[in-house]
Amino acid sequence: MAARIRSLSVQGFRSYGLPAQTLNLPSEIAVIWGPNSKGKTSLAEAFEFLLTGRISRRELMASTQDEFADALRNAHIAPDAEVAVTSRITDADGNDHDVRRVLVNDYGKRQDCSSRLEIDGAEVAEDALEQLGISLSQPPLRAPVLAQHTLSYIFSVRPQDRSTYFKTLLDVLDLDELRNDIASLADELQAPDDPLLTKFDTCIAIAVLKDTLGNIARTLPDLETFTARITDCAGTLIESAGEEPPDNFDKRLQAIERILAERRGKTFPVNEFNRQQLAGWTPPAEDVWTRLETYLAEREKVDEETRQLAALFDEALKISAVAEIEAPVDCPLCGTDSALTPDRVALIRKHVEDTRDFKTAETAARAALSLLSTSANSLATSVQGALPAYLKTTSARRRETGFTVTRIRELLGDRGVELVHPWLSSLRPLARAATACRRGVQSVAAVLEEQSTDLSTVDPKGLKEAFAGLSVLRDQYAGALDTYVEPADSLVVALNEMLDAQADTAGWQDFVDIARDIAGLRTALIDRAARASVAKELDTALKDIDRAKEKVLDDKFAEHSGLIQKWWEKLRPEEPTFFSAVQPRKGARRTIDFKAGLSPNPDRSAPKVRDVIAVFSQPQLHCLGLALFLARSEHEGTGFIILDDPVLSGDEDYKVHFNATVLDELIKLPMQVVVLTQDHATWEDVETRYRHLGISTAQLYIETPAEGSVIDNTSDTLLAKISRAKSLARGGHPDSRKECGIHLRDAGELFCKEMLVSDRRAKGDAAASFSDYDDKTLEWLCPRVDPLLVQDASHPGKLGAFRSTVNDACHDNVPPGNAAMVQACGEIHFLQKSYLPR
Amino acid sequence: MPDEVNDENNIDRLRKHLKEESLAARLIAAHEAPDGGESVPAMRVVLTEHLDEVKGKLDGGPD
Repeated sequence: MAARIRSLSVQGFRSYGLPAQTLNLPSEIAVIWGPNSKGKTSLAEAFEFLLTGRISRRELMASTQDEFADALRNAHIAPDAEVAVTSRITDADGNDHDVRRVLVNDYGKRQDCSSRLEIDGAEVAEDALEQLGISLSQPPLRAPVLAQHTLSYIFSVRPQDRSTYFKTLLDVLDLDELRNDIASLADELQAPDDPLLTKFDTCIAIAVLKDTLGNIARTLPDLETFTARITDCAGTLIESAGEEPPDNFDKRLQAIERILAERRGKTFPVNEFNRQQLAGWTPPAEDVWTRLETYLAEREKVDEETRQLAALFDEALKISAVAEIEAPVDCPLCGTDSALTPDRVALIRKHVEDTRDFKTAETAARAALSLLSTSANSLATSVQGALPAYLKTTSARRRETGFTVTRIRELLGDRGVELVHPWLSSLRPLARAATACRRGVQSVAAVLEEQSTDLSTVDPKGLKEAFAGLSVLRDQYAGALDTYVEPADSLVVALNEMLDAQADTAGWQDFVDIARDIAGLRTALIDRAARASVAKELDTALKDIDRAKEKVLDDKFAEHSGLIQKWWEKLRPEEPTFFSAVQPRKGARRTIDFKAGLSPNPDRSAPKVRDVIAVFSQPQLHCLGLALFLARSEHEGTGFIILDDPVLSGDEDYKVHFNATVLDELIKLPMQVVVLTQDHATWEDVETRYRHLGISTAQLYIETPAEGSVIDNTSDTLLAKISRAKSLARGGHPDSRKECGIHLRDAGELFCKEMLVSDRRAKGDAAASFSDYDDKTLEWLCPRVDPLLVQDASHPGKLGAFRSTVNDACHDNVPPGNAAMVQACGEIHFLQKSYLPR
Repeated sequence: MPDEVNDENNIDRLRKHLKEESLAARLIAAHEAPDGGESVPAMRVVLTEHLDEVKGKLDGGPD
């Protein structure tokens, strides 16, 4: 059994003020009467607020959402008073829980409301209601609460929302999600952006290659055949230029490139854009500076005269007469007689020894200076090499060859607007950076030259700074080159396209490029063909799924249509204009149609099918809205429903069918039904019809606006219980008399409790309360009331006889007869009039 | 009103309208029984495997 609502307390919510008003709902059906503006809709919305935390009326009336600001809090209660709806709910397992919703923030002009949900005193998440067996529908009509504004919702809503409503209701959104998931796989089949394929597609547009390339793209032959076909194509291109193709594949490509360059060059010297990659350059290693510094240190150690004579001495010692001297000899340099003695040579030898380290350092320093010079030159060369050719020539020469901006603009036409400016913008910084590099290198080279010539001027620190400066200039140049490359390359590609088009060589360059990577091209073509093939299969799969989904949906619509039809027939049986079906429109993914049958015959034969919107009257649409709601409730297995004025006043036939058939069917499902009505006759009719089920009744009224709506649970009063018992006492069916007995027992217990409480209060016990006698039965109560029945000696006996009859009615398989039940009703009514007059 | 309401799940209902070995059926099978992961990646694996099969056939040259 699904969840049941046993009571609802409303405090400070909409028309309800303080203290809380409680509606008791002990039975499977309840009917509540209230004139207009006395709190019926507020009560229905209290149910909705309890279950969903909001009211759908605001969401359905989108244009008036602002007007719902501060709508939930009763306007007359204190600002800090708590606004809450509390309910005792019996869950699917029969356990009772207190469910409470507290308003935290009311609706604002542009903000939603917020609330806190509690179950048995603990704050819980919204989905906790599911644990009690309460499953809500999809927004906006989530709660099982029917109101006037919700009846027409499904007819007035946008087609997409109506479609979503039914797809959610029929629980087929998972199929949409599945389909979308599968459709998203198409992204996996997008061919990667492969330049080889782009170039191949350009080549296939070359008329003389079209057939051969088209054929290999379709048939994807093995690599050997593939290569042979590309070689054939190369030959075809060369032949189209009027030349004999060489036998060799590589030579054919070279011939194509040559022809291409020649043809392009005839129109424009595009090769002026040629340049080399900027070669790498690293600043001199630290070792270079160490060598120069070592030189300076060694130089300090040897005096000037020694340094000047060291070379002379070294040379002198190479003369064997000097080196091997044993006696004084004439000086071989100046010719002085006997000037060189063994002692003097020994001294010379010592001087040479002393300057050996200096000489080594000097040699290393010269080598270091040479390295620096090479490094500077290498930088100059790489910078120059990376410049486009047109920057390495004079402007006169450029004009002579036709390399002018004006000519470039002419060739490019409209495309020049977006290509020339970025190129020129990047060119100027490149030229400036190249000049700075060149001047930097020249300056450093001059210093190196000077210091190499006169080693005494070597300045390692200054040179190191100069090379650091070159490094910065080189970085700036590399940066300018990076900026230049993209716009220049784009310009060249566009120029080549124009030139090739003019020279009838369009696509030739692309052919050369793809021909240099035949294996890569074949792999890319296979990949593309496979992706296209699978994409087609996926498309077919999606179409299959769409068709299958439509069939599933048709089946489910047919099932649900049957449910709607069932409720329609209970509301408006045997009418010649009737609800026929709800179904998705063929070929339209988002349109759901409601169809009506129009039959000229009483048996509904030969009906014409039309859209209900066009043919149904307003009461019929009202009924269809109700049938939709009831079908949804049955489909979803809702445990209880709240119906706020489901019966249109003036639609009398429909009212009878609703009261008699629809409510009966709902209770049999079983489903707890709470009906709110402004029609007193309906209230009375429903109360009478379902009295045997112990129907709960209540009335709503407002005494003062400040106090707000008041709920009077009329079925709980002593007179109401006696009245119900009387109406059942004469029933022919034993069950009616049993039900009568139950009402009489309730009435008897209530009579006794009122007697005991009155007596105690009369004796000064102001705290006396009914709750003091909770769980007390007639057996316990009657002996304590007997002494209070003092008006006549027969009265305790009447109460005793009443108790005996009620006991029999409640406990025996066969309840007492009509006469005994009528008598018992009369006795309790008599005692009530005698001792507790109203 | 049908005599009995069909309480089969939607995917099973859908499958009945599809050929068993079709790509649609294979993808749905992967969607329903992802191998220790999420549905979409599982379907992606099936699709990628199928793509590789097709590539393999094409790489073998025309039939």
